[in-house]
Amino acid sequence: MDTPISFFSGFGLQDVLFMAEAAWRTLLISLISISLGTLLGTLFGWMLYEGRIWATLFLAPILDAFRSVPLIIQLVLFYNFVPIIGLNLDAFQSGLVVLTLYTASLVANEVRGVEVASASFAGSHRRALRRVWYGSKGQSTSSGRTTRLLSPREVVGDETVPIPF
Amino acid sequence: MFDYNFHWRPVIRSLPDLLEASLLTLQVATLSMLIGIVIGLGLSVIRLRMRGPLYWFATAWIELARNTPALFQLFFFGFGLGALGWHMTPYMIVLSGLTFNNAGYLAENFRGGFQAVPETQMRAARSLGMSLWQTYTRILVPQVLRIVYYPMTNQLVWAVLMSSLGMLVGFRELSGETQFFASRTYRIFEYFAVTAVIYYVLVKLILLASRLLAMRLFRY
Repeated sequence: MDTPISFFSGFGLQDVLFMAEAAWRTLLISLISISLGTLLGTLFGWMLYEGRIWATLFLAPILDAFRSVPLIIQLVLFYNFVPIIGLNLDAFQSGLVVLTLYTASLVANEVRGVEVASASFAGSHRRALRRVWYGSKGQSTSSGRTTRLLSPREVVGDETVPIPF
Repeated sequence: MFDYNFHWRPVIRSLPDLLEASLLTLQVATLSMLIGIVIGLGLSVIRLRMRGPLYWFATAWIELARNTPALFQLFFFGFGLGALGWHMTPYMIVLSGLTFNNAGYLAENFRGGFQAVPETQMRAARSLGMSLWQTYTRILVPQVLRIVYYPMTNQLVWAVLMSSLGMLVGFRELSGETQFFASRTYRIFEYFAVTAVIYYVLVKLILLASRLLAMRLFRY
């Protein structure tokens, strides 16, 4: 008489290896998408801050959409959109693109916030770039004078920061 | 390239169902927020004022909620508890998973809020003869809720977006309904594109409502 075959097995070493491989893919997709997304997001944030009309009209709503739609919907949508335009991306590559753009939209908002904040503290965007962002490195200004990093009191002044509401 | 024919007719035909499902999305997200606020307040007070087993319980809750994916938490309430013989409906799985997640995140928001209220408020209230319960409910918590109003709005948006994971545990909210129709008609792209637009509108409506409410609540 044949012994019954079981298709189920306990949790074994092989399963741990499979999970480790999956964890590696998780790390990899996170690392790449966060790195690329940060670069792109910094660029987008700067473009938004500069406030060119086309950036405000086109870029801002697109970046906003990435933050307002669930990630899983974006993944499904993009994965099914790619073959329509004739590209052949696997799940990892599709996920990478979506996660990069998602990260970029988040970073862009942060960068724009930092630019607005530093510009309002330093008086102008140019002064902010010169003194708050690069100031600590003591870079030369256009007049050849070397700037120094402003102290918090000089940057903020004596005004207290207002509570939002 | 681009020999794909878009078919929007089935999507338009099932639009009423999708909109009805989006109400379910809003309902589960709002409910999970309301329960999450109550639990989150409790967790943050425990973390700030207590020591011992309750402190470790609250810490474990917050750490687990914030450091594991929301999908994992939903699967825990669905398949994890299911394996132990405790079977819940998809609605309850999503509600409990989202509440667990919301409570963890909100507890940290509330902790920031409690720390922003000066300690003297507590002493003043107690010296006026208020009980601890009265001090919290009439003095501290109203101020904390005002401070964390905008983070709470963010959390509600997050809850709406995370409720979409319900489709992976068989819950027919907006995403689940979309997947159901998409698998019946094979118009996956069209259905998910429309769903993305509905989510976008939902989020914008929530933000608009929160701003209007803020204008009314925080008027001096």
